[in-house]
Amino acid sequence: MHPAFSVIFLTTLIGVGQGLFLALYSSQTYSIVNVLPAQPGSYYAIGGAIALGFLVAGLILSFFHLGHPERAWRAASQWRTSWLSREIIALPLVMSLIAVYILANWLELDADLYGWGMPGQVALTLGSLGAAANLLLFLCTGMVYAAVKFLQEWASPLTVLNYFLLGSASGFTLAAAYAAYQAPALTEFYAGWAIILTLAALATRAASLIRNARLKRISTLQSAIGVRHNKVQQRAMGMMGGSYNTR
Amino acid sequence: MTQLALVIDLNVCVGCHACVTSCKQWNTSGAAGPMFDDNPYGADPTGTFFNRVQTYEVGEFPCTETIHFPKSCLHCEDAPCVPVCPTGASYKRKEDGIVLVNYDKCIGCKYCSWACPYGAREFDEKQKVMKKCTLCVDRIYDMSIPEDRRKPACVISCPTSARLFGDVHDPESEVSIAIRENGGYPLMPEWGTKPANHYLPRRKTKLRIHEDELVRADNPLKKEDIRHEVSKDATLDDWLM
Amino acid sequence: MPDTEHLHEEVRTTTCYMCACRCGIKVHLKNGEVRFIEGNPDHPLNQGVLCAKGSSGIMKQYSPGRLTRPLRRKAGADRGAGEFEPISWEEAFAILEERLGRIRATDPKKFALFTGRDQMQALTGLFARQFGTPNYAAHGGFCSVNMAAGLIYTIGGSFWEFGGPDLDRAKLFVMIGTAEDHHSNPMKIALSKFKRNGGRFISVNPVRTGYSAIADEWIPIKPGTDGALLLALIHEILKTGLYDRDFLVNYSNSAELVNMDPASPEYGMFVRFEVPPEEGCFDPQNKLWWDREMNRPVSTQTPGVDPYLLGEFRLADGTPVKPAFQLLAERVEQYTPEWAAGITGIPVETIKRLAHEMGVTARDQKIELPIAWTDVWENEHQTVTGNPVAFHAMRGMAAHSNGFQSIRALGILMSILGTIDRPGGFRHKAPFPRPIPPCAKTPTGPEAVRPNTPLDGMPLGWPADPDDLFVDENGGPVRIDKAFSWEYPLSVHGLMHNVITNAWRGDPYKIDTLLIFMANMAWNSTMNAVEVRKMLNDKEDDGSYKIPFIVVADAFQSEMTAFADLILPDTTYLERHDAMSMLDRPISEFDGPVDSVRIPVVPPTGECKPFQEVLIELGSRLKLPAFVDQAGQRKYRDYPDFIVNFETAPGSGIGFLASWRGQGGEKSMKGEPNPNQWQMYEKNNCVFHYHMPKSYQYMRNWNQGYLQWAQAHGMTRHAEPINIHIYSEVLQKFRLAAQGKTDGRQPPAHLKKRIETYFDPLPFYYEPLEATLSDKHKYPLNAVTQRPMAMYHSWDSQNAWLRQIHAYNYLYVNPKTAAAAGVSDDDWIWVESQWGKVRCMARLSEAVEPGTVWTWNAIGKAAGAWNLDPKANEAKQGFLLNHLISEELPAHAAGEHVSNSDPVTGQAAWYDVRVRLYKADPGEPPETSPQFVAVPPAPGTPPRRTWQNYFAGKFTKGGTQ
Repeated sequence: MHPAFSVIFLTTLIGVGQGLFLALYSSQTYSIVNVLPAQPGSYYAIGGAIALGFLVAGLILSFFHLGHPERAWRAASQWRTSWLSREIIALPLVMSLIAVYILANWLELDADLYGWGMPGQVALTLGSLGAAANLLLFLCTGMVYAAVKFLQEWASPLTVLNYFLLGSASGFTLAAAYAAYQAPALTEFYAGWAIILTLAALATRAASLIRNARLKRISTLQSAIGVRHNKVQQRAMGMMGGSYNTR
Repeated sequence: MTQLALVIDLNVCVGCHACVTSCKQWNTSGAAGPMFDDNPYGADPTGTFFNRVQTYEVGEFPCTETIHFPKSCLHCEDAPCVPVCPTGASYKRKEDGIVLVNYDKCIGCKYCSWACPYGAREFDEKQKVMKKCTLCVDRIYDMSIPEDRRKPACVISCPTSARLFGDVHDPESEVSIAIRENGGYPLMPEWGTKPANHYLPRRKTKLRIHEDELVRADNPLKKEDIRHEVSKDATLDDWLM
Repeated sequence: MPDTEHLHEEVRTTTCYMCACRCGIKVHLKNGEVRFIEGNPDHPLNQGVLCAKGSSGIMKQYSPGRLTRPLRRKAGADRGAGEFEPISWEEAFAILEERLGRIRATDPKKFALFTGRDQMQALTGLFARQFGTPNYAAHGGFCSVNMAAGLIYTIGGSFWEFGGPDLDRAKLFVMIGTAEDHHSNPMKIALSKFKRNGGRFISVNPVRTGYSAIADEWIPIKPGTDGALLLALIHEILKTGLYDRDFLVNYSNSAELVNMDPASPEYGMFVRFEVPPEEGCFDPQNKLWWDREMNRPVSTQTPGVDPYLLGEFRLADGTPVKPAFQLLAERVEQYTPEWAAGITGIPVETIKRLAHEMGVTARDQKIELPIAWTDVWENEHQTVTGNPVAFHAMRGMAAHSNGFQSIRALGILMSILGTIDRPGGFRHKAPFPRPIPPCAKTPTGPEAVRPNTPLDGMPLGWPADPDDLFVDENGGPVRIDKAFSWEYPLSVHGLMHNVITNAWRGDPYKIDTLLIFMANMAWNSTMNAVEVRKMLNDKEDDGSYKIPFIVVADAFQSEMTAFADLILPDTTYLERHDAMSMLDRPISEFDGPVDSVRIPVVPPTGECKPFQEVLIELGSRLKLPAFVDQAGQRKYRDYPDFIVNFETAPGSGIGFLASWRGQGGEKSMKGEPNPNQWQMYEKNNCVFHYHMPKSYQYMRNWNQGYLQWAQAHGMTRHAEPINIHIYSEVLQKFRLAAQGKTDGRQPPAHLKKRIETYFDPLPFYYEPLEATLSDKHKYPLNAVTQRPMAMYHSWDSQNAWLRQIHAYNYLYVNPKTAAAAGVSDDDWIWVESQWGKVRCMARLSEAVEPGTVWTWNAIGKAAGAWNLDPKANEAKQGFLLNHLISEELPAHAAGEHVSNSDPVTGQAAWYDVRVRLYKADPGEPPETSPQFVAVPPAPGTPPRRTWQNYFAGKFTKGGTQ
């Protein structure tokens, strides 16, 4: 059993999209409090559209690993128990919030929602909601893997953290490239965070690898067949042409 | 509450694969079928099977044990494949504890096969849905089948009757008694999945011979001990009256 | 899931033939397609269970390997190339009628009929005999004839169809070298019950798989040394007095006095006190015992007499005599456990303990059943006694050139433990026990073969002395396989493995037509497969084939069919009538005769025709007397009609099927033909089980009631006791002939030594012949094969489900042996004998004795055969060990072309081969060697599906492919 390539593309692409959105959101938030120079709404809208593009591409690709993509809608039904189902709910939620965010920025909608008397409250609100949904999606994606407790390599909070950090690092890197083209003043901010996130991801990924290398197997060949002996060897799988589980 | 299950007696399993193919033939034309075969007459033939017999060797020559190990879905009481399913296609029946897949709901995401620590799920590459042992749910309740044959195909075919079938929640069932009396155990209990299927270990019969049994008064050799002088002139005529 | 609601469903009962076990099955059909095959719970043999093969019958039925039309080799195409054109059955019959008619009118022995299947012998043998050819046999000679002959010449019965271990009551069960497929389901059922009842199961085998896996103790042994172990066990049991003295005295020839005067022509024969009033194939009761009390010779079985088993005595005329048992004791004196340990690789302590376990269990756990019976000497017995030690053995022991004598030793071990036809021991199955040896005899000279005349005698028989041999005036063989000649005098199942080589060489003569039924003689059923394939295709200087005409009848496109000039497509077992007859090898149980039938459950595929129908058609066309009436008109419409109406003799009331005889089907065992017999079998689960009274179920060699019943029902000719041959006078007669001490036939000079050596009236151990003619330092390892439980010979590689289990085979090697050769798991290696070499993959295993390597047999296939893709794993990774095994021994004193077989029985010595192994060069292709040019699918074979979704009722009839 190997993960389908489409699943690898899915997680990589939506990670980029999510990270890019977080980058846009954070720079916009900073700009509201004047830490960073403000950009026109179109900057955030186009950036958000790029992020959305990655999410859509990931979503489309993910269909390729399904036996029956036409029934994919059913996958939202088991949110009570299945992290996969939750991810499948979170992903369109993120996408729609980003879409609203894009629209609001493109139209430069604004209102003094909270009576703070400063601009950008609508964008900030929508961005915050989007960011929260994004974090939720990272959590869901990570938990899809981290929740499989028998795959000890994955069953760790590091898996969730890795998804978050690697996705964010790639998104901030893309944001840096986007800013270099559209808003050079922000490049440094994005690039700085991209480096920090990449280093953090490197650290947590390294921590995962070290953990996996030292992993003590909870199950053994002995417990798999219930025979107590130091030397147990499998000689035949019972199907020489291979089976679903061996591919 | 009923929990149907198989109890597999490794003490008598000779690894003949009868359970493997009887399962295939019943299920390919049954509710779980058809069961795909890919490249059936070419290189690396493969297909959907719900049950496989693995072979293990334990120990080193000459103290080797060869263990044939039939494996199918264990119908866990806390089945990890069920909660992970995003569509609810994978479910555990309340009435008898059988873990099943509703093919009409399955989207073929294969998440359940990652979640199953026992590798008991088989993806049907043609129908694109996940399949698995159904405990022949389309046999065991079929009233047109005689009652003593209303069991999974693997159970009725098994030549060594190494496969027992019944309710492991009923303490008086054949399976519960076998588990209790013959040291039945679940696989990988460390995960808390509570597999319903159990395995019975090898049991050895030994014979101890006491020295006394080799030196006995009724040893037939004693009848040969008395060596008569061989008569040089004995003839039949001398003795016959 | 396809819609199945409207599909018509029915269940039909018949008999399985996915192996030779013959289990009862219920075939569920949907829309005429096979839905499910289950074991029939009401069948005595399998009691509802069914093995992996039986459960895969569907894939045999719908296999693309099936032949569906008669085929003729294309003009100009080479044999083996597989180029055929379809012809009609009428053309096929016309070709055969003309050709066989000509042969029969001139020299019938130029027609040879050899069949892989030995459970249709009553019909195939009848056809050959009626044709007038002596050249007929089934596959027994290369299968397990040593097991049949070794035990039948000792105890009047043997394992499998003939008898078996009574595991219901046994306490200790010892299995020696048993192939996993033999007597498969009944053995599995019995083993499991036995283990659950707390019985102790010991397996003696170089390899621990299958049945051995669940043994309480595995005793690894070097191949071909079973005889040494058994003789050491006998030694130990005799030494410790753990034998059943009463049993030996009363029921064997142990106490009978043997003439020990070397000058006498009767040397080594039992002393007889009178000429028997009636001659027949039984042991006359005219031998002597030495009375312990009176210290004098007395007639055997004199009431109240207790004879000596040991000692030496002198008769009135001065003749020195010894009881046979004394000779046995003297023989085994040398066979100490210490001696055997060095040969078998089994520790001394284990051998001694094994002997003690057997002896003590037999003596101290006796079974007394309250069953009254009367022996042939009119002694009334109130109980039946059993010594609960049972044995089973099969090809692992048999397929060695010392197998006959090893199996004699096994028979003697079983006998000294007092376990013959007793509860918990060995038990016979009807029609056994038979006289030692059985009555059937071959003709004794070439004059028995005459144009247009049936053979004067059976093509196969049971020689009792040299005068029974089938030889010409120079002592030369009459049969093409040289069976019943001085080379292999007791070759009671023939030597099918030498037929092609002999016919090719023209030794002893050329034949014209070879008809092979269901035997893969160009592949896994032949030794020396590479060379034999060349012989099949070899031509004379004038361009004609050395074997002029080859006809193959088979249901599948095997490696052999490629070499045929004419292919006759047989049906599968689900498409035919068949009889598991008492005249043949029935499926009897311990408690009485059982026979059974097959009835067609689906119509024949294409133009397939059951081989039985072919024989009846040919027999009628050739006007063989049994198949036509006085006027020369066809007597039987078809095979079912033949089965109903054929009688062994006019009005005998004995036919192929034993039950539902008589006009209304009211008679069993004997009775006039019943036109509705088939329907009655069908209504009764296709099986007939005659339950004998309990008093007839034990001690049948000596059971007066049973023997008289058996005689009255035509199962045996004489109701005379069948005493166990601890000492074999039959063998001694051959030895005396070789020593020139007899007036009758004597062996040719070059075979005298061979006969004198191997026809020893007492069992002895000798190294397998090939080992004595091999460089054992160069080839230090034994190589053996066995069949997996999920595959029957080569039959199942076309089976889509079974081949997923065994798609190719490895050579299993003990890790120590592998390490010494620098071989690791899954390496490509060469395994080489003095005859050839094969490249294959190694798999390390702790379950094999270090001096042995082994593999599953008949998994490897020639490219394209069985309509598999030429790139199938079977052809690319699978391999045959047969390429390493010669059908003939190197030239030695006994001749240049002596078969690689047991010198007594002609049993093919498959497992004598010695090999070495080494790693293949990394540059070599990762595929098995030798490779063969791929054969194309034969015309008419179904398309080779690249995928399939079998769903009964929707498969061939459009739907799921």
